[in-house]
Amino acid sequence: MSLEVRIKKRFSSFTLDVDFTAKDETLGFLGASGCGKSLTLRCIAGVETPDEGRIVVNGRVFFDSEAGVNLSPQQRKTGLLFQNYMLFPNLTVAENVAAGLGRDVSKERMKELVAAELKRFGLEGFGDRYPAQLSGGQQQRVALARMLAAKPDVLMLDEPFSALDAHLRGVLEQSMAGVFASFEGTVLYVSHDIDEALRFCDRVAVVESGRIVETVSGDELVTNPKTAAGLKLSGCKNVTPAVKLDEHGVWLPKWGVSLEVEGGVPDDMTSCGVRARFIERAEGPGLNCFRMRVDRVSDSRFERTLLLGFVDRDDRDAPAVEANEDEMKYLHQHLIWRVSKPMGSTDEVSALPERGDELWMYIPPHRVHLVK
Amino acid sequence: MLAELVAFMGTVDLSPLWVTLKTTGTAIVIVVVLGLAAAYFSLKMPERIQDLADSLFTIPMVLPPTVCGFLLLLLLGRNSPVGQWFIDIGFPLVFSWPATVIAATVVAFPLMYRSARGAFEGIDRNMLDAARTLGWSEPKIFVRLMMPLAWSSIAAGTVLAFARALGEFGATLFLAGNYLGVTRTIPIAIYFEWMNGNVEAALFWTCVILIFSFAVILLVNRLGRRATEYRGGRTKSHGVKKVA
Repeated sequence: MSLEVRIKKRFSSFTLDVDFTAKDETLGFLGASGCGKSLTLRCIAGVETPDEGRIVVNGRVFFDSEAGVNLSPQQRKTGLLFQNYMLFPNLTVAENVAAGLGRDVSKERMKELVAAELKRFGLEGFGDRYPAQLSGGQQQRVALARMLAAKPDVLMLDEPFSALDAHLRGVLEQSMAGVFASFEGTVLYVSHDIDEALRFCDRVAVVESGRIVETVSGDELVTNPKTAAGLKLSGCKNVTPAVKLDEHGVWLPKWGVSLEVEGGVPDDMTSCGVRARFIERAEGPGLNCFRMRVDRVSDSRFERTLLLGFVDRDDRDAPAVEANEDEMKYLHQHLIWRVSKPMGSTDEVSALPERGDELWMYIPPHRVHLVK
Repeated sequence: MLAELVAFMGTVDLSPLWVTLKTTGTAIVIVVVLGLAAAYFSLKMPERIQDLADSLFTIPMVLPPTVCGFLLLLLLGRNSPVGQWFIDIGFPLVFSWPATVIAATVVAFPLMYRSARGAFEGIDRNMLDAARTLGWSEPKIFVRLMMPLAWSSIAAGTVLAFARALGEFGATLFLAGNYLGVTRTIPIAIYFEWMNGNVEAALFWTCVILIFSFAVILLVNRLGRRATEYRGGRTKSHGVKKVA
């Protein structure tokens, strides 16, 4: 079981140029929208044709521009789950699930297979309904059942959870993990969410403007990202351009401060990042300690997010801007800090920093990521 | 009153009704087939050719029917090579019954084509791609997916094309003339009866057209509703299709 993809496709303002191999595993594609991850799946499925390259699945050549091979999507019969599932609205659930079964399957066998898939996905009794009569989660399960009933060689899922409400995801994520575990073959999983990628994928390929910039395990991406795209996609909120000062120091023009880092500064690094959770309170001035002002505060259930501005910033590269002047520039000059809310005690919650407070903050040198 | 009506019916030659039914019926079948085919294939063409084809397919809708009729006469008449060829093989086209079909087809075709094309364009391309990855052939996608999803628009297009073919006057008169029992359709009958002072006959044909048009539109609308019940909830479910 293997997948080998090396394709190029040019558009007027964008070029897709990806090259990867995958074995019997779940490979995630992590990237911002429009970076080419869905396009890659469409090229493998055959509904989009690359300009050049080669696609081989389990030893079968799907596409080879040099040899002039280009199998039709029907011949490839890959399992592609679309973002909005693309169930056929004019067919019942049972007919949808049976849609990928070939003519060689007898009527009785087809009934058995459909019943088995419906049972597996908890859809018994829904066979006669139309997709419009189902909830989003049920629709997703019908789409999975339809895809798996067709017995594809490779599974490809394009942001399968993006069309679902957050509260529906929990259980469905579990059943999805079960599907991947029982599938023998390559699974490609497109997402822009690091937690989804960590949950489902053995390896993660970070895609940025049509290219794969790094391919690593999910944990590796979180602890040791190599690229700015990887760092941002791994959920790091504070990523800013950086300039090398010396072996242990970098200058951050947008923040207007310099930082000490651990383990040496590589010559080719261009950005620096620190996770919102790893910033600490400090008593007063010191190494990597900064006087900061809380400019915005927002709460979620278990944590408080604070937008911190550097009080003693050096304006030589970027003069400080106000929020109503240029919101994006304003945000880029700020640091995001996340603290857990103490549970069960409103007194302790009210002890958390508020808007307008001035604090000393410490950025631990070993928490600073330097990336290309 | 009743006796008068019976006496009147005795004097009316009903042949325009049969000519109209035959002409409209034949034309609508041709229009539906050609319109769907043109819509389907025009969407598969490269974009530049698509615009050209679209203009060509739509122009009979924009032109005055007399212009259509005149152009058809120039193209198919006795003095043209095409018309001469048909005369040579023993099927003179102009001023014959087939001419009424040609005239009705040409003017009604754009309505069908435009409705079908709009409906096909409205189908999510990803839906068709999903069918392809499941191994569905292109003809199966057309029959099982595109047609049912586009059905209400296709029905609407059929009604419009039918109405246009039924009421065709200008192009028919040019190309087919006014031969009783051969090319005299109801619209032409209405005009000539009125010109000859037979107001009752003109009124009679007008009523026939009114009732007939109304009945056909009603029928197609009901069929359209039945076929789109899967959209769920919005229509009363009389006879929901059950599939095991």
